Parts: sequence; C-alpha cells; structure tokens
Amino acid sequence: MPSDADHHVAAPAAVEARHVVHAYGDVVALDDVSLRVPAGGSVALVGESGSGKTTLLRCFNRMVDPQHGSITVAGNDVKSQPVEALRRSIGYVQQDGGLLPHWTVQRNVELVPRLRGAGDAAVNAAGDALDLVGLPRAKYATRYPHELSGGQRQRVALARALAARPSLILLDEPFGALDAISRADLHEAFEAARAATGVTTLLVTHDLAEAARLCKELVVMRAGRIEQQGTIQDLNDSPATPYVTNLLDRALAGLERLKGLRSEARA
Amino acid sequence: MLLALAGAQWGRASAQSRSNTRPIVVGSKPFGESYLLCEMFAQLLEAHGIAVKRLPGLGATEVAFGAIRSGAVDVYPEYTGTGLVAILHDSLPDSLAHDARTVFAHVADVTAQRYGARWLPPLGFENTYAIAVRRQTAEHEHIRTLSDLARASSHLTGGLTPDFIGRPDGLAGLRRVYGIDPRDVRPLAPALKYQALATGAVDFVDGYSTDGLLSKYDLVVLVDDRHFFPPYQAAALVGPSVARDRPDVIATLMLLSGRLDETSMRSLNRRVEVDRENVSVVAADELQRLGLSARRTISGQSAGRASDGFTKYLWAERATIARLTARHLELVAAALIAAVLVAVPVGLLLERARASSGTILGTLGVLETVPSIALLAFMIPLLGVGVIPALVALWLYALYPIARGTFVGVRDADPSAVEAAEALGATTWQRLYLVRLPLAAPGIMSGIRTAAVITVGAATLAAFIGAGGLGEPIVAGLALADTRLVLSGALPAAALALVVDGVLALVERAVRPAGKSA
Repeated sequence: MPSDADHHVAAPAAVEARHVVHAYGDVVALDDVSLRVPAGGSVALVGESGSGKTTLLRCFNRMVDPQHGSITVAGNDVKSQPVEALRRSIGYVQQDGGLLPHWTVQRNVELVPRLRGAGDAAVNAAGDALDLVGLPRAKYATRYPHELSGGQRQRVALARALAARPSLILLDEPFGALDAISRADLHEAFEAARAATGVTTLLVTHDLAEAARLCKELVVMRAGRIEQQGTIQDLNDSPATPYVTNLLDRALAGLERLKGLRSEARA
Repeated sequence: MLLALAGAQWGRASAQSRSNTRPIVVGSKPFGESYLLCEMFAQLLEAHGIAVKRLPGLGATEVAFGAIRSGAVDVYPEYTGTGLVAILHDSLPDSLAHDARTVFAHVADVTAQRYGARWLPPLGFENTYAIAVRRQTAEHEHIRTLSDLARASSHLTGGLTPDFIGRPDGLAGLRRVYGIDPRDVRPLAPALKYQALATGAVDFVDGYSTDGLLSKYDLVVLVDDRHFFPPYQAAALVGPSVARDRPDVIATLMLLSGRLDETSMRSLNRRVEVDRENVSVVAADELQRLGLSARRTISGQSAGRASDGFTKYLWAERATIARLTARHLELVAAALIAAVLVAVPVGLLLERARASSGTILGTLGVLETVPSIALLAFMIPLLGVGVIPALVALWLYALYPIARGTFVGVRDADPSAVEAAEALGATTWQRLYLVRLPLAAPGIMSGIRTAAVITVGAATLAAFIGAGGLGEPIVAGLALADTRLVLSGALPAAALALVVDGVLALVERAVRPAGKSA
C-alpha cells in the first residue's frame, strides 16, 4: 500500500462529477449534476443559498456521499480508497476557518502533513505554507487563533489546506465572513498561492465578482441544477438561461454607480 | 482502589478465619447504652488478646441484624424483646410472654435455627421501655399507669424515637392494647427526648428504663399495667461464623454474662449521657471494677472531658480524626474514580447517540433526587452493610454530574473545529483525542468537581451502614446529643470538601487547553 507520507508535491488532479443526485429528506439538493474540471483548473460554483453548490463541493471529499452518480478525482472514484486517505490529499477551507482553538498556528498548519506521517518534515511544510499565504512563520507560528484577526485566521486556514501540497483544494465561501478590505487582501494572497502551486481549485461563493476574479470558469447553479458552465465572458456573451442574465445584471447593478465615478473623473 | 483493598481484605479475612486471627467486628446501635456495651465487649476481647474492629452507630435494628446475617458485624448488644418482636416478628402466648427466661429460650432457639446466630446468656439486666411524663403532668392528669395515659392521651403529644414508632411492640402496640391515641406524635432522636419532655415540647416519651437522663429530670415512669411490653433482657448477639468457629470469642464474651444489673447500668449511662464522659473510659472503668480487665485501656483516645475547650478536644482526638478522614478520603476517591471510569465513556457514547441521550441522562438524574440515606438503605438487602454497599451508593451518586459534564463538554466542543478535522482526514478516534476531548476537558472536569463535592458530603452517611469515615462521630454525636462530637466529624468533612474542590480546581487548570479564550 502506498505510503501516506508523500513528500513530493502532488500533481494537480482533474476532477469530475457525473449525474450526481442527492436529497436531504424531501428536499432535492442535487438534481442530475455533471461537471468537469481539468487538472490545474479553477472553477467557481456560484448561486443563491439552497442552490446545491456547497453540497456539490462536499461530494468531492466525501463529506457528502451522493445517493446516485459518481465522483472522480484524478481518474479514481472517490470511494475507491479509505475516506481519510482521500481527505488527506484534498485541501479544505470552511467559511469560519475551523481552526483548532487549542493549537498554535504552527500546529494547526502541520495537521495534514502529520496525519500523513511526515514527522518532522511537517514543521517545514507548515512554515512554507505560512510563507505562501503571507504570514511569516517567525512572527505567527506560535500565536493562537483567538489572538488573530478574521483575515489572519482565514490565511492560516488556507495555509493549513495547502501544507500537504494537495492535488485539489475545496473552498466553501472562504472569504464570506470578512470585511471588504480583508477580503481584497485575501484575494491577492489566494491568487499568489494558486500561482505558486497550480493546485486544482473548486471555490463556492455567492459573490460573482469574486468568482470572476479568482477562477477561470464559473458554474452557475440553481435549485440543484447547473444553469451554465463557462468563463465570465461566455456567461455575458451567451447566457444559457434568463437566470444567468439576471445574475450578471444584479451583480453589475451595484457596481454601475462606482464605475460612473471613474469615468466622471476622467471626463 | 478501595475495591482492590476490600478484595485483598476479603482474601486475607478468609485465610485468617481459618487460622482464627481475623479481627472480630463489634457493632452498636446509635444510643448511649449500646455504645457502652459495644465498647465493653470490644475491650474485653482485646484484654484477652483478640483483635477487634469497632463498627458503632448502625442506623437501626434492621441494619444491625442485617449486618450480623451478612457477616459484616460479628457481635452487637441486643435485647430479647426486640429479638422476639422486631427480628423474628414472632409472639408468644400471653401466659409465656412475660417470663424472661421463657422468652430468652424461645428467641435463642428460633434465632439459631433460622439464622445460625447465637444469643449468649443474658448480661444480667433488663432495659425495657419506660413511658415517662413530667411530674406535673402525672399529678395534674392523675396518670400513674399506661391505662391512665390512654384516658388522657387525646390531648397529649408524644415524642417518640422513629424506631419505636415503627415497631409492632411500639406505638402500634400501645394503640392496640391500651387505646393510647395521642393528639400528635413527633419523631425524636433518642438523646433529645428528655429535653423535649422537660421543656414541654412533648408530653410523654418512650424512655428506656436504664437511661441516664431519667434521673436528671423530675419525671414519672408509667406502670405497664396490662403487661404489654415483653421482657427486654440485654445480651450479646453473635453472628453464625463466630458462633461456629470462635469458641475463644464466645468464652470471653460470656465472662460478662450475668455480671451487670440495672443500677450499675443506670449509673454508667448517667456518666456518658449526663456527665458527658468518654464512652471508652467509662467502659474501661466498669470492666476494671468487675475484675475483668487488668488495667485501664484507653484504646488510643485521651480522656477528654466535657469541660475541655473545643479546639483542645479536636487536638486530643486528632489521631482518630485523622484515621476517619483517611477512610473518608478512601471512600470518596474509590467511588469517584470508579464513577469517572464509567460516566465519561457513557457521556461520550450519549453524545454519539443524541436521540436516546435525553432518556438516559434523565434516568441517571433521577438517582440524584433519591435522598442519599434512602439509597444507602436500599443497598442493604442487596449488598449487606459495610464498605461495598456504601461504595456502590456513592458511585451511583457521582455518575450523573460526570456523565452530564462529559456529554455537554463534548457536544459543545467547537463543532466547526471538529468538522474541519474530519474534512482534513482525521479518523473518528483522532478527532476524539486530538480535538473533542481536549476541548471538552473543562466541561468534564467541572462535572468531576461537582461529583467530588457531592460525594464528600454523601460519604458522611456511609457511617449509617457501617462503612466508617467522618460520618461516625456525626452519627454518634446525633445519637448522644453531643454537639462537640458532631462537629468533630462535620468540620473536617467540610474542610475536606473544600480541599478536594481546590485540588481538582488545580487539575482543571492543568487540563484546560491552551489558547482558548477565557
């Protein structure tokens, strides 16, 4: 059995969902959903609450086991290996970070490498990850989560997700709880980390602007179904449904007044 | 730990009983004469080189005789009338019921047949019920006999010991035979009876004919004109294993048979109950006077007199108090550790099975509502008396706070951190010991602290069923209306509760995970 202590940087994985169906009691969360993300690609799942985007995301690390359909990561069905091994090769960031409050930043970030049996190599892996997200280890390693700001905590959560150099990273509204300025800072940190690692990315967000900025493609979801998958340009130029058009219209509406300021200033 | 100790003692005891070296357990009921006779038996045995363990203050006839049957106690002083009515639940035809010798022979026979327990030849005196009224009441109402009392009883209040109220040869019998029907009946502790009578709080009491306090107040003892009460000859009641295997013990105890009389018992009781002299000193004096012991034995206690200041008394008794405190602590520690070993996993399991948690926690919670003395008494028919039933009762008591503290601690332990650990690949066990238990530790410790303090308090009641500990002086003090004695148990118990809580607070601090906000 291949050792869990994989010290090589994992190659980014292509992921696929095929005809996935999942219901919570009477409520259908995913209604025949199919999706493909190439290795190294980045896809944002956008939609309102209840659209099924979070449920779909959580299928990839088996936090949800769909009732029908298949999920594959790097060509392998997610059920073909022990669930812990699967999860240790996939990074995960929650909206509230989910840092362990009784552990230091260093220990939090070391979690996955240690679970994989890296031993002392985990220390450096964690340090590298902290550097990657813009939290110099010398300053932050020994701090506790409650001593950090919201933005700093999310950076630590991101570092923790990347510490074992996973082939795939899942983010569930990771910046939703932050103020606009911290969010902008985190966007920069995230882009830098992605550029450095090239990891396949699945990001759930309700913020279209964030989706467009951080990811190559968007997947618009509504009531458990995919409305359209494509670049933001595709969504704009050839919207598949009126819902997609509506979505873009609403996102742009807020920005119109601000855009007007810039053109006025130039005038 | 104490269970292991008890187990080892069990092994040693059975080995010893084969070699006749195990200590003889001498018990008593919680009133002055019983403590005295217990002490006399004990010192007599010790004077003849037989090792003794004293287990005084057993709550009631049922507890004492139950202990004889289970072997937890080897001998205690009992009365033939009590043996007839309260132990054998028997009666004799009227013609025979009043002859002391007939009653003794009958009781001794049946007890031996039914239980294998042996009544040694009577000590030489009778201690019957002495229903007493104030002299003013006797003169004012023209009451001399119990029949007279029946006539006047509808406007009189009785102050009676709970034992008397419950027994067929007690209040029920008086009602039946004499038609005595008091306006009100108040249960009173034995040693408080006479005071209550003297101050007018009650109008008649169930005194004992050899009570020391009878002569202190100006009272009239009513004549049992219908001869209702059976004879109550005092004798040593010995358990089956000693009756069978220890002729040396029997022979030694029989040295006391026929040597005591009412007059000397009354004056001995006076010394203990009125003059507040130390029981073991009074017992030693009498044995010496009877020529049954070579010298005055002090049995480790100094002759503290009632006139001593309280602190001086505590200091004089420090060895005893230390021994009782050690035993108390052993009981608490054993019960607490056993409770933690069971209740923490139960709390963890309940957290996983949330649906049934309510019912199960509720059931455990009901245990808390049972008064501890009732729970202890409930153990007696199941487990006898002594350390084991006390530990079981204390263990049951400690379960709920610990299980609940664990359940709540784990349930509320930062759910998002637990979920993150799961999503990043921690197994169920890893989540438990890396995340959930450390975060639940303060809640668990809080439950343990609560349980510890409860247990220190409840363990004082363990003395009622002969488990020892700081409850012993409390029970004795209540029986003898000796506040000093009560406090000599109650104060160390309170101090122990504080110390235990303090130590556990330190443990809680050590176990609290770093980094959690206050």
